[in-house]
Amino acid sequence: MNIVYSPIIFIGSKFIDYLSITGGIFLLFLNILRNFFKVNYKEVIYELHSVGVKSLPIIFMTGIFVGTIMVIQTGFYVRAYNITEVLGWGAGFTAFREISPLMVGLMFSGRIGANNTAELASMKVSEQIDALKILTIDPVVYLVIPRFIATIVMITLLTVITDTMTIISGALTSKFLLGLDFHIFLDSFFSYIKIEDFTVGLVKSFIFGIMISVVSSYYGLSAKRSSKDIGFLVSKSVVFTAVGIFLLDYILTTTFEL
Amino acid sequence: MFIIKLLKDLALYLGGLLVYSQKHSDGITKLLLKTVITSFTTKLRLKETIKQAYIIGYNSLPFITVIMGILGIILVTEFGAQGVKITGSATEVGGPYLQLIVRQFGPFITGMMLANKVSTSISAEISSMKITEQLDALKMNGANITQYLIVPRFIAGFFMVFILIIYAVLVAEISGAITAKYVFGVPYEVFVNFQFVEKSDIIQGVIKSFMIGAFIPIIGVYSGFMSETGSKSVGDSATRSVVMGLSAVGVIDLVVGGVMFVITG
Repeated sequence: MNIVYSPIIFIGSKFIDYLSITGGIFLLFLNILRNFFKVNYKEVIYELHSVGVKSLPIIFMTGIFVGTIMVIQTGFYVRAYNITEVLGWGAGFTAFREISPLMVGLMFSGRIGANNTAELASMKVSEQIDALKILTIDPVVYLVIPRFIATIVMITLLTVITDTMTIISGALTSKFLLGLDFHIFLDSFFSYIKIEDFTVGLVKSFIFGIMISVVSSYYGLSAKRSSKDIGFLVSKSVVFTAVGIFLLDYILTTTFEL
Repeated sequence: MFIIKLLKDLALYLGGLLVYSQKHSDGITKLLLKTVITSFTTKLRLKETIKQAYIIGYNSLPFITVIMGILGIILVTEFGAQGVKITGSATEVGGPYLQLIVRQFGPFITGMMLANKVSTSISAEISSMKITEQLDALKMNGANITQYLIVPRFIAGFFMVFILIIYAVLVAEISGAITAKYVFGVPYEVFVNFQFVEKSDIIQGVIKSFMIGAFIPIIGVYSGFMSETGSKSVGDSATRSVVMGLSAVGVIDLVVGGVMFVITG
């Protein structure tokens, strides 16, 4: 009897788990929207600094990686068919629309999302969140909403920096690795890339930012009383946000492209 | 005056960043060398290695399936839409898509995802062992920590990441073929096209896979060992391992891709 029931029990319990997690995330999101304007602006500025300024190095690095990798990978085709005039378009289009929001999202889920979960979870374990509740301070208003605002503002702005670094590093790579002049890359880039390609990337990043901050805060607040949980919660939150980024990217790509 | 001060600050900042990353990459490389030497000179804990292979490999299967399935749909949709705009049909997409997956996106995206999942869980495990003084207890019993804890994770990660990347390429190709069939009406036998995949692409993908597989578990262990006392450091070490792992995958991809480009050209 057990053999018959156990797979059903397994699938059912997993299903209920995922439903309760997604439900909790949506409830937290509604809670954030409802209390959005009660936020403490001092906290927001502090979080803007800690989310934005401290992520600059990794964002610079992401931009350099994306630009260089896209030019190298497009370079194989450019060299095979000798079509130098589409190099800037090929590298820039893929980077702006797809790869740079995706990479910024993944870097944010690693740098900001994981940090969020770790901070909130260790506050929960050391009963600081209970202390806030006793002082009649809503932890969502005081801790979650500033992080939410900082993440969605900064991920959009930092995507612009990544895109800029993509152009610079792409032009440098095409000069020093493919031996093309700067103006060949930049001409092809500026004559074929439309402003929509840039804004589509920004919209994608903005939506990823909303998801990353809500999911990571949810996992942080769901910590139990033991410190052993924290590491595993961070791991789970990073995995969930990665799947979420790819799913949202799929939905957004199909709405923009088809 | 203001500009000079700004430039000075920037230089100090960049210098500090370089020193920081140099210190850690030094430490990671030393740990990697030590682990490789230990894995050849001491006896392997086979049971533990198989358990770690189960945790790293089998438990990541659903995650990798979902991610690579969605990635295949996204890339084929983007490429196909461009193909339709330029040539009027998406039949040409299949060959370059398979080549890009083998050479670039298979190792890169799978590596990033495994840096997220595997490095964080290894570093959370090691750092919670460290703060509860289990590592000290092991040392007191005369166990060789490298042989006892690191080598099984390293061997398991090295082979499992390679196998997972092969699996990921397969999943992406299948989901791409299905997308091409139902969105752009390209038949399977036209889409699945091995013409573009050359020996150098496969070599590039394999080198990237093995390097990523070697570094992911080592980065998890390294960042776990870095943690100090207190429950906050468990979360910090997990966060640090994500950042280090993602950066390492990016650097490996960049270096191997650049070197292969220069060699084949």
